[in-house]
Amino acid sequence: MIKKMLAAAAAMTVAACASPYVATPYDRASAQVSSIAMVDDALPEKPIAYEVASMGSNFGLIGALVDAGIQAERQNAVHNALQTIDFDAESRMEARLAQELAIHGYTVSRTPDRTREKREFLTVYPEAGGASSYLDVVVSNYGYVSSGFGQPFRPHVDAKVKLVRVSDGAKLMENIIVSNPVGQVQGVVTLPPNPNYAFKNRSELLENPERLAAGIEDALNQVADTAARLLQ
Amino acid sequence: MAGIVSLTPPKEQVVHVVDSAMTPMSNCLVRAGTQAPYVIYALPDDMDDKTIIVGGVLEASRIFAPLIEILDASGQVLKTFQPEDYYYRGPVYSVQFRPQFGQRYLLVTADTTLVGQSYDSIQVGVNTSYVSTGLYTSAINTGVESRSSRTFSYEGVVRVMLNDTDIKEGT
Repeated sequence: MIKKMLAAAAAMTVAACASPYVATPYDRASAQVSSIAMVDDALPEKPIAYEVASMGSNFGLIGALVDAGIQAERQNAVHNALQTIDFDAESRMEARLAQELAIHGYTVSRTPDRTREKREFLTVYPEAGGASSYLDVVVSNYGYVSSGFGQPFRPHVDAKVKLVRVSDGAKLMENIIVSNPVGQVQGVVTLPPNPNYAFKNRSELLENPERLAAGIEDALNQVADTAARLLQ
Repeated sequence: MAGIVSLTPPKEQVVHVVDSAMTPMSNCLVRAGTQAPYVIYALPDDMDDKTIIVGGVLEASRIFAPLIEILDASGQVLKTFQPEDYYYRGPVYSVQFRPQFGQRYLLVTADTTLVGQSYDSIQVGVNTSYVSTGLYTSAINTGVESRSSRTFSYEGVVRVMLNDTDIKEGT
């Protein structure tokens, strides 16, 4: 995970000398889209609770193995804490996104339930049910991230969004939205973490499941609002 | 209006970056009784596969408060980006668009309604240091956080990033 997160940050940071991420901006006037079918399965099953530069990760293979166990245990503990209050992050985010899209004048529907095989955009879309476009939202990671030992855990969401025309499959908009990125990213819409949700350590994360969920929901709402704004 | 800056790169490249310092010495645009520094960019003749990000760079304590408009060949305003069109894209508070036929210039001036407002943020990251034991060197990653408060200003840096997704085409 640390390698993936640092590699993703590095890829976007040093992109000037390679291939930078280039979003596809939306032009509502020419797109002629009035209805959107939101693609199912936006979020992964479990939130993360990840310490990026953890102590263990700095001590070779043995340290990395121990670290992996600590990270997985923390992730499960956070997942279980959220389950005690029946927090369904995906339903909350999808409801927020649908609400915001409706505010921006779109008729919103949802595609049938289907689990993604990978956390990637679909290559083949299900029946649109009469909608003129698909909105494909793929959250790669959501939950909490600490930059390293001794640093607080803050909400984090890493999402990519794409609007596809049903009739010909044309890409009408594509963007990456990252809430609380680790490191500086280029060409990507970045949202700073909400300072109201900071947890000193694992114990504080698990102390109050309601607050734990509220931090995640707040970050997901910001991403959903931003995705909808990109389509206004 | 003077000092038009070309956005046409010397040769086709994946990303062409142009930075312009906005200082008290910059040209001043007077509209509706309000003065603000400005810079004009000439969009490239070949607009195919081009995507442009333009805005104010997040500096240590300030951000140039951008007001961005697209002009035609005669200098008439074709589009004014609205506040909701601006996002923080990494280190640039910016808009993003694909130039269209008939669009010729990009006018960046200061949004006087934004000047003076602050943007508070928290940045997290990882620092890497290297420790040598004589026999081998190992990398130590350390998590870091910083808080910053920046103020939108009449001064600062305007950055334009011209991305070309097909550099195999002619210029």
